[in-house]
Amino acid sequence: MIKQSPERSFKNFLILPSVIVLLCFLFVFFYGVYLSFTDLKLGKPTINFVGLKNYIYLWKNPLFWKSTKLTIYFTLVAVFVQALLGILLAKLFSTNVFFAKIFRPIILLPLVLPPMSVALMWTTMMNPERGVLNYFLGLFGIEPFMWISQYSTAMLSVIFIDVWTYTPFFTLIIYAGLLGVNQEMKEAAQEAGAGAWITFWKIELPFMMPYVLIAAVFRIIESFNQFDIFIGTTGGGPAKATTVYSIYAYIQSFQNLNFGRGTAILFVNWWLVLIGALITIKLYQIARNRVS
Amino acid sequence: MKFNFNLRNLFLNILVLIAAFIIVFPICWIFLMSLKSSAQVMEWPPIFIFEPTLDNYKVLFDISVAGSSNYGTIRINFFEPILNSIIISGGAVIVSLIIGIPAGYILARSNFKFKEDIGFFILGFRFAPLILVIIPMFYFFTKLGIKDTYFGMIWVYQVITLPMIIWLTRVYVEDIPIELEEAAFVDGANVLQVIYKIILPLLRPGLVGASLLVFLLAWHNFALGLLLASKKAPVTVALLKLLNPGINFYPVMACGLVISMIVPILLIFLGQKHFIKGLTFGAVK
Amino acid sequence: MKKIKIFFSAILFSLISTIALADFDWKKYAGEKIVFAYDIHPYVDALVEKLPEFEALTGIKVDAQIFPDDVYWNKLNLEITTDSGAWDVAGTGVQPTWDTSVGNHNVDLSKFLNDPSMTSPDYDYNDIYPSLRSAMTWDIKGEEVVGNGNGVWGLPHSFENMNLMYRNDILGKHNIKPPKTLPELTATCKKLKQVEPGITPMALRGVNFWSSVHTAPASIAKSYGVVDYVMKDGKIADTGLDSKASIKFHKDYVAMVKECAAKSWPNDNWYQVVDALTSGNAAMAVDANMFGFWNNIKDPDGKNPSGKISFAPPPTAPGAKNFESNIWIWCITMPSASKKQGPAWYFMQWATSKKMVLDGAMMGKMVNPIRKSTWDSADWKKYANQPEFNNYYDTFMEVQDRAELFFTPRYGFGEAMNAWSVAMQEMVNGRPVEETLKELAGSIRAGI
Repeated sequence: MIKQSPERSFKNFLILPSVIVLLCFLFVFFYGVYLSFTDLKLGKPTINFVGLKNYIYLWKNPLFWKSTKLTIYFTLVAVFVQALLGILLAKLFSTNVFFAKIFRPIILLPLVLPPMSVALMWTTMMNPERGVLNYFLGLFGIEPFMWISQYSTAMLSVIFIDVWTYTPFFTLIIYAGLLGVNQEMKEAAQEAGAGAWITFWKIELPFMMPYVLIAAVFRIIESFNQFDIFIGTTGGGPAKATTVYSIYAYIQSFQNLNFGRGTAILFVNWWLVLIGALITIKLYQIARNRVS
Repeated sequence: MKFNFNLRNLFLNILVLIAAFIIVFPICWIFLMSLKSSAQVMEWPPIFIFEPTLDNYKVLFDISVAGSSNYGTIRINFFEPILNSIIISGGAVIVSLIIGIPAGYILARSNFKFKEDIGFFILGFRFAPLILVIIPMFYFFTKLGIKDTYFGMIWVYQVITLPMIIWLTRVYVEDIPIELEEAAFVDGANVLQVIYKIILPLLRPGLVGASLLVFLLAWHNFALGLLLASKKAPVTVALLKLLNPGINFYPVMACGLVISMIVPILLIFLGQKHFIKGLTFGAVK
Repeated sequence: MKKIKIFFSAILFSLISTIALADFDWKKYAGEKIVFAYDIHPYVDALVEKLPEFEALTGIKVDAQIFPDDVYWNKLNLEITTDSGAWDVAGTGVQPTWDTSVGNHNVDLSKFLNDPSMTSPDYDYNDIYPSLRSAMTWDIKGEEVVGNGNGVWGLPHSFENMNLMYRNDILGKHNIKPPKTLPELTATCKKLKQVEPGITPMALRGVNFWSSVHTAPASIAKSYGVVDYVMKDGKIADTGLDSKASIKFHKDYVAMVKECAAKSWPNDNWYQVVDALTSGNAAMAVDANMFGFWNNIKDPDGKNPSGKISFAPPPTAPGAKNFESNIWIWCITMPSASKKQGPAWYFMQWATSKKMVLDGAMMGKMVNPIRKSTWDSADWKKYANQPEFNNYYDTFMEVQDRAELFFTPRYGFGEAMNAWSVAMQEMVNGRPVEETLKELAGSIRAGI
């Protein structure tokens, strides 16, 4: 151990500006949590501490429970489909067939576009009367579809958009993981008489799993907080078909001016995010231990 | 066997083409739409071949050219939000670089109590529930009078840019052999000199890539601008406003979309290598 | 002697009038700059077009910031309730102003109106239709809004009353008469779908925002006997949205939406209603009457279906004695955080002055005009009775007698009415009417 020179002890202070800036945000976060225990309403002059009143209101409100279901449903379905398609695409593009080599760079494309642009782009294409998607369906003799304009299909349509946007995220990470699969192991397995499927199941998939789960952690967190794509497509409607937490909180805070309730919803959401992320990280550890 | 192999190849190639089509088509379609007249978007079935017009771009950028509608005149100057986005995202990245690089360096090289805790705390901001921060932030911004200012926006964008810059710097510094610095310290250089004279030149390629990526994420942001700015709102917020008037206005909105998407696509050409590393905070190298 | 008397009184008169003129000076705030915010709307187009006149008259510069509908309302709420001070004059409606006037976020304009040094002598406030003036007048007691009283919270700028509008070319071709009741309307749609399968029978707003309930639903519901709130001793005691009358109305209305509206109904706002009438994609609408008026204007490129839109009173409940028509008043208000209240007030009185109201109307933009003198003026009568406007003028006169605000003044208007619009979407989507209304009323009661 080298003796600490004066410079060395000084240099630790260099971290402070960053930490202070971030602590400000942390303070704002806790202030938000505090607001969820008040009746802060924009427009009304007084703020009172009301204890758990906002949470009790939510507990008793059917829309809150509906919103809870929608948020979890959106996250689970979207992330699951993305993981599945992500694996398939990664496999497909790692085959090194002619077009795979050419088109590999474009996998990135959906990820680099602003989510709001993506949402608006699909909104124009999903227009039930003039949208190009219904035109394509028509080519296959399928009746016009209502997409985001109908209660029963709105959530699935938004999930579709989310999947289009973020499947490449899984693909990229899994692809990076696949590069590390030991070619010799694969060949050894094949020589031992294992078919392509068995090789995939026994060797590649377990090897991929940690990568899939790392990507899933990111996606789960971001899906719980997804706001842009909902605002840019359905705004929470039709009826309450897509009123996930972020939208519900936005409406409560900025349309109904009820900041106390809005922050309460988001605090609940934060706990869900945490639980979802911790479960996935646990799975990740299990998967990694199995590989090594 | 050989025939089989080719069939498989053909099949895989077709699959790749389908996947590529699904990825690329929407973007191409929006580009086409931006060149259509409002009568042409109303046509059914949708048309793919038509005489393109740049009129929509004029509506978008020239304040003296008004968008046609029967419910009021829509005048837009899209330069403003583009400029806002550039100033806010660019400013946020620069500020983050200035205060974040030393922090990242310390996290990589120094050993002190709670180091890993601080590192984890910083990483945690990648997962910050942004809207929960925005609501009280809105309240503070109003009180402090920094709502709708570049200063306020650049400050609040630190929540996106700063943690990434710190963390990526840390990851990159850890890849640099420590001997160079040790030599400099022995020669009597202080920490800041070491960072700026020795580390920074070595970090440059990585940092340029990281900055591009972080700029891109800042460019993506919508919620902060929606609620904390109005005249200084970024492109993403300006876009949402174009949706309101409906199908007639789709071509003008498409122009806005094209512009909001061209910028990141160009950036990614420049910094592709660093993309995955950045997106996952170096969890995947 | 007599001559001298006349001479003196003439001098006296001119003296008095110069004093009065000196008292009110349009140039008092020359050099100031104010910010004026409004929705994208022809009303504001008319003002913006005439801004150079205002700037020449007063020397005040106006920065007009125009936002689209959805964005605008949320923004308005925030700017005003947080006292940001960024806006000096804001265009809004009566209902949102209830929410913002509580907590003193709006300036009570009566102090300017009653001050001869601040208000031009020819302004003539009482020339504005009484129903519009009274809608903008209320008092704040504690944190509640109490109707009537002395506070004036905004100046009406232009207003809409709700009419049934129909494309006379489409209905005429198939010899269909404009329906008189809600069930008749549904039946008409059914018929239209058979004979004109290519078009949507009705253009209707359906977005999950209060702007979709204040037009057709509020007007028709009133003729069913629906009230938003039940008053007791001058206080709000209950909501009327789950009453028997309301259930009956909603059943009929939901059936109508299912039969008549476009597929994109849940996303359609007023822009789409105007577009649908313009393009002929829809044959009818129950909405603000000036949508029909604008579409009837002869435009140079012939885009407008000029002369093809006719007017009728809104449909009623079956067997109702009278039709009812809700009104929506565009008014301009002053946020109390404005640091330029003087110049802001000058702008407000100019924007609602006799000259501007008439000019705006004659441009075909600021309709319906808010002043009785405009409706009586020969110029406007001649203009609005041109053949392409069909029966616009007469229908306005007929409807205006019964046109009145449906809603009860109250803080929290937005929350309850947004909830109503969402409930409407749920019912159209198939949720049972009684159950939905019960839940809606429950959530409103919790807030009373």
